[in-house]
Amino acid sequence: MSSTAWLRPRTAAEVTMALGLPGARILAGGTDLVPNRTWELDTGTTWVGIGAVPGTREVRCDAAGRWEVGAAVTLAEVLAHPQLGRHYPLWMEAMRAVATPEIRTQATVGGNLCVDTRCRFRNQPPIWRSGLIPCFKSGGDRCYAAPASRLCVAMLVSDSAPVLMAMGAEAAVAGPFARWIALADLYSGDGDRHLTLNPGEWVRAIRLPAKPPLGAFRKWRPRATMDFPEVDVAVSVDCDEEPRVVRIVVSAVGPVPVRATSAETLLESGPWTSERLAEAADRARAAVHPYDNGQLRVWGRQRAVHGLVLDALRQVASAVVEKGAQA
Amino acid sequence: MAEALVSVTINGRRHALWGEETEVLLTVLRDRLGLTGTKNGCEVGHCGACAVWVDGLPQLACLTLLGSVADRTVTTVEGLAGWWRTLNGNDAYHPLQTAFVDNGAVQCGFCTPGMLMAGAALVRDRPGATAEAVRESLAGHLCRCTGYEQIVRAVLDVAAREEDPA
Repeated sequence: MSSTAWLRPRTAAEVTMALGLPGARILAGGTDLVPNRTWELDTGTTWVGIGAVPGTREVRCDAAGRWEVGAAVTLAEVLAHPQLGRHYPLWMEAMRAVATPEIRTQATVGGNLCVDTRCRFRNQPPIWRSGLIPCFKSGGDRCYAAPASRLCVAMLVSDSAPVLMAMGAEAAVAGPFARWIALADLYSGDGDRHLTLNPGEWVRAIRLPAKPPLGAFRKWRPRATMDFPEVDVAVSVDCDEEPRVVRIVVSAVGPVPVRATSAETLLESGPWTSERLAEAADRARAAVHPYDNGQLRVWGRQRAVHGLVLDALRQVASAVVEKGAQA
Repeated sequence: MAEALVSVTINGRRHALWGEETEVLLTVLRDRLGLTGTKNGCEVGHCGACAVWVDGLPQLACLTLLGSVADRTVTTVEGLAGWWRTLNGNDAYHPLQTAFVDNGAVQCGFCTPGMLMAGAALVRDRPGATAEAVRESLAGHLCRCTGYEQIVRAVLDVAAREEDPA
């Protein structure tokens, strides 16, 4: 195994400079990068830690009531935070669904958002992969999951991404042009280079809305723990707006979370009867086409989209009724 | 610079280790220090056999970098009984080790070190933990022999005793 250097810059500018080194990677919790090195999936030779940069380990609330969470804050710290759980129960649900307690102790907020995409044909030990001609993500010219595709279709497996998208959260991008972007703008749609970040850019923090919408999260995976998602669904509704703002986000079905816009439009106005909820779930299912690169079959995952969206919508509808709003 | 001198306390003993900061703790423990109680199951964080305590919290040694434990305390399964003895001033194994034997929670024994470290952290932090909490704390640990029931029972036994020592 080749040698890997570990740099710990102390400022955001130094991180950006370090990312200019050949084979540089951001090292967050390392729960994905380290095993990827072990399986020779990632051959980066310089790891750039971000935990020493001021603000990346902080959780704070701004004057407008929006919570900002540094990218290097661990998932266990988020779950144990005395305030975050009360304000953002939906996000907490997604955090609890990530991996295992040991991994949540190390894994970070930024790492979970930027975690590398996965594919059944690539995330395998080197000896398994040695029998295959390399795919796009391995430097080759083909995709085993979608042979007609010109792009890698490896899945985004971040559990927090769909939830934060449904909540309307933003990410702080550090780099030469520091800025806040909507979570949806973080993902490119190409499984090989799945983030839209330019060279030298990195995620410094996330910002959550002061008044989060009501929502529900569902994760479908072979086992109730440990596994990466086969389908993630996050649903949110803000009834204070007119028409109400509905977000239905389906993730782990491709390199980018998918908004089921047709289903959202249906539920923006009118009553949320059981028939209309079922129709919205139908529309969400029609909007999603999982690739054959998970552990479970495409057909089952597509059916799961329907079931999970319907289930999540029913939970949100009950929550809305409890809150006394009209739905 | 990839290599550095890393000072770390392992099972109560201070070590100064020269090596790559990005080497995983698992190989440091097993190959350099001979602490082979920490098992190398999958190497990629899927099985939990390599769980150790870092500053008292369970972490997977296959995902933990040597540089990240600098000036910290690591406890492996070899140090579990020692930690317990220091705490209680007696000469016994950790009660969870005894409970594993009493409950038949060990067959091939490969997952046992990881299960013990996760279980012992739970009974220390949450005496009287429920079966659900025990299952949650062991969620990252695979066992191919016992079907988990005896393991959960062993942890529950100790959790109940810790809550009510009398």
